[in-house]
Amino acid sequence: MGNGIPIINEPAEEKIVTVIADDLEIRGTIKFKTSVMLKGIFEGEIFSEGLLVVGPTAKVTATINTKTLVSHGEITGDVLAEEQVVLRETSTHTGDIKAPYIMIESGAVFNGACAMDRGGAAVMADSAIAEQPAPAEESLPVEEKQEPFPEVRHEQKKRQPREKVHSEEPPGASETAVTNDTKGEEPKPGELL
Amino acid sequence: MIPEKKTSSSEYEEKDITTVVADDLEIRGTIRFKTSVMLKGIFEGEIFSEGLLVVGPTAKVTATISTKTLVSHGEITGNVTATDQVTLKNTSLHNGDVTTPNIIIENGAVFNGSCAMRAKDITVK
Repeated sequence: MGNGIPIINEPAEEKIVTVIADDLEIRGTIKFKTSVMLKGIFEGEIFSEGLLVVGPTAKVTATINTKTLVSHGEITGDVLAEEQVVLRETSTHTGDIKAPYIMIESGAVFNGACAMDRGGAAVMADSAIAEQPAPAEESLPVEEKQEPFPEVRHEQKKRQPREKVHSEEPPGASETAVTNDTKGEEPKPGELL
Repeated sequence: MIPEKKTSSSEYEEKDITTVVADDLEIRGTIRFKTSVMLKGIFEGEIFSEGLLVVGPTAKVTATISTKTLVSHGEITGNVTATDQVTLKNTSLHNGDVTTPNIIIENGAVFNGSCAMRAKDITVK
C-alpha cells in the first residue's frame, strides 16, 4: 500500500517554530501556520494549518483544527485533522477524532469516536485530501476517564513506507488497493501475505 | 501458541494458529474458541473467543466480537470487545466500536467508530 499515506514527519524539537514550555499556561485561542509544540497547559481552541505537537508533559483541553497532530500528552476535546493524527505511546486522548489517517501506538489511550473518511482520496496525493463529511458517529457515549494504561514497550516499531507512491488506480479500485496492495512496504514480522 | 506477552500478541505465524478458515469458506452463525483462529473468508454472526482472533487480509467479517486479542488485516463491521489488545494492521478496515485496554492502529488502517479504553477491568462474557 502506501498510496497517499502521509509520512509521519515529526521534526526534532529544535526544528519546531514555536515551543511553548511546560511552565506556561494558556487559555484562549491560538492560530498558526507552521509548527507549534505545546508542553504546558492549554485551554481553548487551536486553529492550525500545520503541525501541532503535544508534548508528553502537556495537558490540552481544546477543540483542535489542524493539518497534522502528533500527541505524546493529554488531550481532552475534539480533533479535526486534515491530514493525519498520531497518538504516541504516552498519549491520552479523550474526545472524538476526524482525520483521513490515524495511527495509534501501543500504550496510547483513546476514548472517543473516530471517523475516517477518505472516500476516493486514498489514492490521491496527500495534500489533495479535502476534509470529508464523516459518518455521524459522534454522539456515541464515551467511557469515563481511565487510568493511563501501564506502558507497554512495543518491539514492533514498524516503519512507514519510505516514499509516497502516487497510484494511478481509479478511485473505484481504492478499496481493493487498501485491502490487498502491500507493495512498497518493508515486510514486517508476522505479515500475512 | 497464543503469545502471552502483550508485546508479542500481534506477532504470530500462521502455522501456529490452531484453526485457519480459508478464504473460500463462508460462515454464518456463532463461533466459539479458546486458542486461536484465523479467518480468511466471509463471516457473519458472533464470535466468542478466549484467545487470539486473526482476521486475514481477504476476510470480510460482520460480527459482534468478544475476544482476548484481535489482530485485523481485513474488513470488520461490528463491535469488538477485547480483554487484552486490538491491533488494526495497515490493510485493515474497521467499522464499529472497540472496547479494549490496549489498541494499536497502524498507519493506513481505517477505523470508523468509537474507542473506549480502560485499563484491565474489562470483562468479556
